Amino acid sequence: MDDERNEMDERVIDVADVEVRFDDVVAVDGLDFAVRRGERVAVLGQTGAGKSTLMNLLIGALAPTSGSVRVAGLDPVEDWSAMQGKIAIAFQGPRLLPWRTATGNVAVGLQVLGVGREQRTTKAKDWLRRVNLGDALDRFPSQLSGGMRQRVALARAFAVEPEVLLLDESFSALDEVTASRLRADFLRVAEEARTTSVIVTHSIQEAFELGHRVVVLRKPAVVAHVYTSADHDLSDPYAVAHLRHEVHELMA
Amino acid sequence: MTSMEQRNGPPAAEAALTGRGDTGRPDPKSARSRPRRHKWVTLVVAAVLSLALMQLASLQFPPYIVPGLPTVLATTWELLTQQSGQMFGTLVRFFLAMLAAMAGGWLIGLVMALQRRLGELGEAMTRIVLATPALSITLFVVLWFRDVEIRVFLVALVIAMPFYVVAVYEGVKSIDHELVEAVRQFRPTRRQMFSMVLLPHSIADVIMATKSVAGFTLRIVVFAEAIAATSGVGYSMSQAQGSFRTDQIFAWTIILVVFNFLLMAALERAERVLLRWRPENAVG
Repeated sequence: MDDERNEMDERVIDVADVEVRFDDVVAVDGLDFAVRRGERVAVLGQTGAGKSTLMNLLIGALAPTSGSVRVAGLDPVEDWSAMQGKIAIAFQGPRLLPWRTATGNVAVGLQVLGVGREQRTTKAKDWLRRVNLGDALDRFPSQLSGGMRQRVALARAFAVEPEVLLLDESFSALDEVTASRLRADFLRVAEEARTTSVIVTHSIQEAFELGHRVVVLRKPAVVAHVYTSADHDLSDPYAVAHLRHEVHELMA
Repeated sequence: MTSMEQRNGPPAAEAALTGRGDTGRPDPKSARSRPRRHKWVTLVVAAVLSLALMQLASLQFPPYIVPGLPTVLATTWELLTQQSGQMFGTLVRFFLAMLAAMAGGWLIGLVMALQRRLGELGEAMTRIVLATPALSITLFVVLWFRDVEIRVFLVALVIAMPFYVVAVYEGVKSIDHELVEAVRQFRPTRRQMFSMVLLPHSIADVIMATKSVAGFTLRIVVFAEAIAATSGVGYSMSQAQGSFRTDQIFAWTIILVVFNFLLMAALERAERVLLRWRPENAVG
């Protein structure tokens, strides 16, 4: 029990007092942000609030001007190679390699990790079945619908079994029906795999649906206001309406 | 008709609208094969029309200007059966030069794309070679090299390879940055990135370059043979011209044109198989 609690308390993502400057422009300032193992955190914020900067910091595409970023105990920029397989991202667009089949695309991360051809193919097919694409294993991206492509991208991210999964507005380019189905698939698979996730989104509804916590980013100083599903009964429509109103206020 | 016209022109649009199977649903295979079939039928009609015009002209001019169709067809058969070695020699030269141009151009294009400064310099040099007349290249090679095979090979290589270099270089430079980022998130080595993204991406560039340069290279090989060789179709045509055997020139021309069309058909087939992931080639 104690082990389980310790595991839950372990900070897989730890962003401490981070400032990012591009010449004279301050992108984020004083960002403190932590995510515990197995937790799903939805990040909301208006355009320019620093959501993309946060994502870039976490994947190591950007180094902070000051402060520290740790993911799975490592520095995403300094420990570039050691971070292999520890973090994966599903982007807003599927970004699939057009010359690879769905299976080939899901196997990309596994191939980078050095998993043998047979094993990675089996694993990739298994992940595709888990996102309900069992009948499209050998299809090329050009033969898939937008929703199916995004499922492949999700499977590709899950397939490396990362410690941290980032979703960068992954459902925003889809129609609402497809996005809703995909969100349900994501929740099911994320629960099964107990993957620590950061979900960047514009949609308040999506944030409440997917996150254990909802964090709102605001400029100039980044303010993280936290709502936990443990603190609120999200099945109560009045409670949800109240929270949505507060989030609206914070984002304004 | 070019593949671009096939994709965007009226025949493709027409086929897409009317290509329906028995179930009433659009049949993508049927929609694609119809314009292809139409293209080949049109080609046969054009060929028959050309031969008919030649026959009409032969009635007006002496045989050493325009020989009659029966004579040309008889000579064509004679060349195919009795001088097939000349054609074979030309084809061997052509395929060797194409393979070398493809391999060299692919490699140089990739190196140029990966090394920015080298790429800029290489691009400028390639443009200079592309702007140099084929005759100049042929004459320099004849002056500098004694061996016939090396002469023909070098002329074809120097003329064909820059097309590959430019195609691969420009293609790799234009790779969608988002695709690179999608793979880069897994932190691959440079070698992995090369084999997983750059190399497969450039296959399409190489195939498209082959399609556009193959016919031109064949013409260059024949041209080089006429000037710098002592065997092959080009040499035979040069000899025929010297002895006023116009029927032989027509016959070799027919053989080369037919071979060119067969080559294009084979390359289109290869494109459909190797680039089956492209939306215009995809089924399903």
